[in-house]
Amino acid sequence: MSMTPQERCDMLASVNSAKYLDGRELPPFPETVDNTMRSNYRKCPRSFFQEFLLCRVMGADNIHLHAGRAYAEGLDVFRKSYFTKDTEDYKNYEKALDKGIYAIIKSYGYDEQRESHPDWEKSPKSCDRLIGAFLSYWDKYHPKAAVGKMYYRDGVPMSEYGGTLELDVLHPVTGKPLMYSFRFDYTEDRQGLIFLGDDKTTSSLGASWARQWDLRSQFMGYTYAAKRILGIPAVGVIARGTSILKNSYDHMEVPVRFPPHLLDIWWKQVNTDFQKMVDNWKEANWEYDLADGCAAYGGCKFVEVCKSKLPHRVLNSMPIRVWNPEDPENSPVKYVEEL
Amino acid sequence: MLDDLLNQPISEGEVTRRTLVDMRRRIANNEAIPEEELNDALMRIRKAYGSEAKATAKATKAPKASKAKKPTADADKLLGDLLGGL
Repeated sequence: MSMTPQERCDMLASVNSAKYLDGRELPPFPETVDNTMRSNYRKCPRSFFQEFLLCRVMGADNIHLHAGRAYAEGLDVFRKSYFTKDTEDYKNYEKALDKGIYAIIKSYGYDEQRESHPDWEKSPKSCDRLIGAFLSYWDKYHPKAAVGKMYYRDGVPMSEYGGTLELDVLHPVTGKPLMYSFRFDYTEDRQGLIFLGDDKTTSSLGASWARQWDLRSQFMGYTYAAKRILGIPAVGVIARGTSILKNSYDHMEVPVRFPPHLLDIWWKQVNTDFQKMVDNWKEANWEYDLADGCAAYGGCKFVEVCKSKLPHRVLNSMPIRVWNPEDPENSPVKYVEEL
Repeated sequence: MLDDLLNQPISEGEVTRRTLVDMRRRIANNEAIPEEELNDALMRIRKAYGSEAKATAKATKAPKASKAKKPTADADKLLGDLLGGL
């Protein structure tokens, strides 16, 4: 039986986590998966189980995710305004900037209480800094001076474009293939070579930032899926970074090419990983990392759960958010009472 | 004293900052903002923050120190790097 993200959310909210933790019940398994899930699973299967199957998250909205979304929204609105042909604002640079600024403001929202939280207050990713970074970005990559040209599909500029790819792994309940969701930020033609683009915000750019993309699963997935599903002869991905600090902005881009043999490796590996997840689900067995993953990036959000003798109590206190890879903005959230 | 404060001219930067806060609040509340007012506000924000962004970009293009800095770990920065582009 198929389940929507909202139905999964409702079901999870009606069952005490204790039943899922000891295997008396199996949580619904998502029908659509993505690279975020895979990456999390590779770091710690237990974390994947708690975040993407039990769907427990921290209460406070994460500023990095929030700001990243708002920034991406601004860039997308700019591209669609500037590059969509046969419209009043086609190639109107100032108008596209204004629409992008509006999109950032709208997406960022206004919540004094949230923004007074220490994580938000000390972060350079405030709304005004995002707008500054956005303007700096287009100053750096002005469409008239850009090396790459926007790539069109059926007359539509390929900005924020995605889809789903059928995996070889079957869903443990429905028996249908799992769907792998992908979405890239833009597509460019660089002297006859088609690249997909991914915008990232970061705190610092440099050699180590530039070196991390050569075997990036997220990017291989874009390239593989663009070729197979969209029929775009993409050769790779451009990683474009914007660093946002309290007093400065910086930009860097790294084009990465993925030859067919690497894409074959990716396809095999991604199917192996999702098959393992399905097997773990059937066995109700989720291993712990108990290593670097627990402490990385300021500490895993589930450290208190994993340390507790009564982990369900800690989990039950966390809100439920069902990650919806196809439409992240519509990831249902529910705050549940103690069960 | 109060009169002096009230009569103090407000800088361009402060006007822009207040304009942005006002727009953010009204857009978040789904207020119907007259098109002309909205366009003026967006243009003001674009010009002010655009100039600032350009000035900042120039300032950061100063020559780099020849001695390579030893990398340091910063959990918040790493978290931002990891999650920022998702």
